[in-house]
Amino acid sequence: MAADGDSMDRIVKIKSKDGQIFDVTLGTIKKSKLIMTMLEQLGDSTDAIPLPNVDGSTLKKVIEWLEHHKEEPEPAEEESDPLRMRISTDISEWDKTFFDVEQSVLQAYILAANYLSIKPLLDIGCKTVANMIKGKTTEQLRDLFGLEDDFTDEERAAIKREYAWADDEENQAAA
Amino acid sequence: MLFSDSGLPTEIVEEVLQYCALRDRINMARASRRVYDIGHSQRSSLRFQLNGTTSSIRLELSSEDMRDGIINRPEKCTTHNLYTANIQCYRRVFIDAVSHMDVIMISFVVKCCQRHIDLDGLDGRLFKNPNQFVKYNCKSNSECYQFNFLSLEDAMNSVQRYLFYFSNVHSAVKSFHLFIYNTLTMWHLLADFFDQVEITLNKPTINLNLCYIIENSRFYNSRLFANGIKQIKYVSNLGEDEHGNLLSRYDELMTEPFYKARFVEFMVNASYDITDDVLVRFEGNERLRINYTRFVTAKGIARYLQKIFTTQQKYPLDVKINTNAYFSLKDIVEEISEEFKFEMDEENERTAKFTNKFEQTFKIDVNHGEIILKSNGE
Repeated sequence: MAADGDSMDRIVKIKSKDGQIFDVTLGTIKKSKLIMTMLEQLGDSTDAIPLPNVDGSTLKKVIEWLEHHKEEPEPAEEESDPLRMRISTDISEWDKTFFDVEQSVLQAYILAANYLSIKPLLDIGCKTVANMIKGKTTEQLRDLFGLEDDFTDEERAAIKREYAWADDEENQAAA
Repeated sequence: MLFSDSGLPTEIVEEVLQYCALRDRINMARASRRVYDIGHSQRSSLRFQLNGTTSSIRLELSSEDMRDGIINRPEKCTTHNLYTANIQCYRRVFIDAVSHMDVIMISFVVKCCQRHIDLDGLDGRLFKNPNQFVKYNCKSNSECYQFNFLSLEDAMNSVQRYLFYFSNVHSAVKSFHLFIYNTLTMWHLLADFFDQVEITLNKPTINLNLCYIIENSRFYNSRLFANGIKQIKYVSNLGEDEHGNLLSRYDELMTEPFYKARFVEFMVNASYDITDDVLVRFEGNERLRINYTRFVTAKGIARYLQKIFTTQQKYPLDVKINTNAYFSLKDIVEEISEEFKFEMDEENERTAKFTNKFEQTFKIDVNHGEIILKSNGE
C-alpha cells in the first residue's frame, strides 16, 4: 500500500483482544509492519483489523507511543542488521518514562511490539530490560526477575568451571 | 515474569542479551537454566560468548607519519598508506571436546589516493559484515587480509564493526592488547566505541609508542581501562630539545588503573616528567620501570618507600628508577620517619634491607641516580 501524501490521514480501525476498537491514522500506525501488511491484504475494507494477541489497555499505550514517534524516520537498513552494535543507553527521557512500569506491563509492551512488528518499540523495550540487568549479580538478577536457581549441583559446578576464566580476580580486580 | 517459561520468547531474550555487556550476559546465564540454554543454543548468536569460547585480540594502530595530525604528503604520493589498524583475533574453540585455535588477521589500511586503493588487498567498503567475511572469506589461519579505504573515518567504522563482532559474537575476549604507534588520531575516532562497548572483562595490556606525551584526559579515562590495566608500556621518543619546559601533567591526567597496573614501564621520555607526586601514586605493581626522570628526589623515593612499608605487596616487587639527580641511600633514609627501620649493609653503604608492616622484606640499592628495589631474595 502506498504510504505517502494524504493517505497518511486515512483512519484505520484496529480491534484489541478484548473487543476495544481504536481509530488511528495511517501516519500513526505505519510503523507496524503487521498492520501495514494486513491493510495491503484487506484493500479498501473498512472493517476493524483484529489484533487477538494484544489487550485494549496495552494497545492504547502502543498507540500513544506510535503517536509520539510518528514523525521519526524509519530505522536505517543498518539498524536491522542482526549483528549491529547494540547500545542500550540511547533511550530518550520520554521513552524511559513510558517504560517505567511493572515488569508484567513491560512484558506486555514488548510482546505487543513483537506481534505488531514495531521494531523501534521492540528495541527500546529490549534496551530497557538490558538496562535492568546491567551491573547486577546473579543473585540480584534472580531476585529482580523472580527466577529460581533450577540447576543441579553438578550443573552448578560445570557452570563454575565454564566461566572460571571470567572470574579470575587476578585479571580483573577493580582498580 | 520476563525470563520465566511464560515470559519473553527465546528470540526476544536473545535480543535483550545482545544489549548486555558480557559480564551481565554471564550473570544472566548463571541465573536460570532457561537463559543458560538460550545462550548455549546452536542457533544463538551468543553461543560463542557463553559456551567458553575465548579469544585473545591484538589491536595495533599505527601511522607512517611521525607527527600526529599533520600529514606531510608529497604531491605525488610515494607510499600507499597513511594509517593502518591491524586486528588479530586468536580464538580457542572446542570441537568435539578438542581445543583448536583459529586465527583471523585483518589490516585496515587507509590509502593515499584512488590510484593506489586497488593495489594489494580488498576494497574495505565491500566487507561491511564481519560475520559474512569470517564465514565465507577467511579460509586460512595464516593469511592476513587487507582492507583498503580512502577515508580514515570509513576505516575506523569498519574497525569498530569487526572489533564488536570479534568481542560480542565470535568469542568472549579473555585478553586484549592495544598497541598504539606514532598516532592517537585513530584512537580518537575509536574512543566513543571503547566507552560504549565492553571489549573484555579482563584487564587489557597497553603498549604506547608515541613521539609525544598524551595530554588528553579522554584517553586516560577510557572505559577500556575501567576494570584496570594488566600491563602498560609507555615509550615516548620526543626529543629532549622538543621537550623544552613542557611538563606532562600525569598527576592531573593519569587515572588509577595506570598507577595500579601489575607491570608498568615508562620508558625514554615518557618518564622524563615524572615527579615525586606522581611516583608516590604508583602502587600494587609487580614491576615498575621509570627509565629516566628529571624530577624525582630523595624525598620522593622516601615517600614511595614509606608506602611500601605500610602496604602489603601482592607480588614480589621489582622496581628500577633512574633519575638525573644524584642522591645517596643515606639522603633517602634521612627523609624517612624513624618508625621505619633500615638495616644498612655494613660493607656497602649503597645497599639496605628493610621489612614492612606485613613482614615482607625488601632490598634497596642506590647507585649514581639508579634506584633498584626488590623483594628480598629476588
